[in-house]
Amino acid sequence: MTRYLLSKFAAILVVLYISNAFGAETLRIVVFDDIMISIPPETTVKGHSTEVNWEETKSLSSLIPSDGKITLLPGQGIEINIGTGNTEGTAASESEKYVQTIQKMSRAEWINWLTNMNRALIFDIQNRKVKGAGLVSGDQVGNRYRAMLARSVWYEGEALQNLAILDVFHKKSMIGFTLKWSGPEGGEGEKLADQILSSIALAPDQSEH
Amino acid sequence: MSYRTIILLIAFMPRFAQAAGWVDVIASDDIALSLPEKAVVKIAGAASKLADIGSLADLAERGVTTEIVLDNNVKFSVCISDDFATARRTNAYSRLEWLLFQARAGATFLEQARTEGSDGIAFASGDRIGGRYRTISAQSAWTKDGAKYSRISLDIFHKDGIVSFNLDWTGLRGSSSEKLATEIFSSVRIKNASNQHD
Repeated sequence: MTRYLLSKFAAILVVLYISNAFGAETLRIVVFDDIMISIPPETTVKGHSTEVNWEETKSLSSLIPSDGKITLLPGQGIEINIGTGNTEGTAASESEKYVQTIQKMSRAEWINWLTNMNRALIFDIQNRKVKGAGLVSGDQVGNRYRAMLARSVWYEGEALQNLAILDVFHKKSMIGFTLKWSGPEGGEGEKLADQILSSIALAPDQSEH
Repeated sequence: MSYRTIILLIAFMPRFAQAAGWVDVIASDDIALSLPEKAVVKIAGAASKLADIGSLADLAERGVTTEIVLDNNVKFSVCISDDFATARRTNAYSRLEWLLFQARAGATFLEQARTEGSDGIAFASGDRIGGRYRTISAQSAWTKDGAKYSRISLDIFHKDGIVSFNLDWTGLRGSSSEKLATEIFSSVRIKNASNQHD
């Protein structure tokens, strides 16, 4: 009997460990095509009059209006803007050309492009005459898509404003994730924002690793 | 000339064009790069031809820098360290932790450029190689004795340690030295990778 109870207890522990390790507190949903994100179940959609049933919502595409943009509110005062359309202000063909040019860049061209983007970000912070800092960097989503990763922080009064961006250069268009929150470095907002930002990846069956 | 000959010529032409004067070299394990055939490898002053070498990792002790002399005034150096603990930790960083690491790396490269000469500038950025290993790419430049010095660096956080490449040259932007250095820098990839940027 004791052995039976111990084995049951061990099995429960294993299940708890696995569900915790795979993020039981988060929902994994498809953003667009083969790109996925993990969000807390209590996440709401800005402008949506009713709560979203995340268990039934398998893909964000079904919620995204015609302008291709959606704002998620996962808690801790974080706003996630997701755009799954063309790069801003460009026609579909132009956008496709832009995305494909970036995907084909050599490493040297890519770092030059990032250096220019970083310069633009710094100028933007300086122009706004605020005390802040920013960094633009390169990343990949899976072994498939190049991505631009950026973060900037600045003060508005006493409050530290944070912005984190991941622009994924997907097949024909750019999928942009912009996370905004207010709060100190190492705070709960930053922890959740980092968790969500780091969860953006290829769908498991699409991953090559 | 038959249409089959033309098709064969078209099919093989890009390969011939890419291979002419260049040789594929294994840096370490699954990391490969292309170098000019004429390059000479120098270890502790002794020189040997690149064509006689299989893998750069077999050439020198771990943690010791190997220099490869290239034409066009470009110096290429590689150092493979056993610091797999740092490499593993870096690959496990979350995206925001990774950005913080890059900001620190950028500061280190800037400090290094300022130590090398006057007007030192540097920019470091993160990337990945083959979606598998995180990398830091950095560009630095400085002035010394009236000459412009440039360096591009690539640190790969590999599963067995850190593979570091440096390409140093003198001269202005757009020079043949810069062209050669950037070509080598862009050629670093996962062995047998099909993606250009891998």
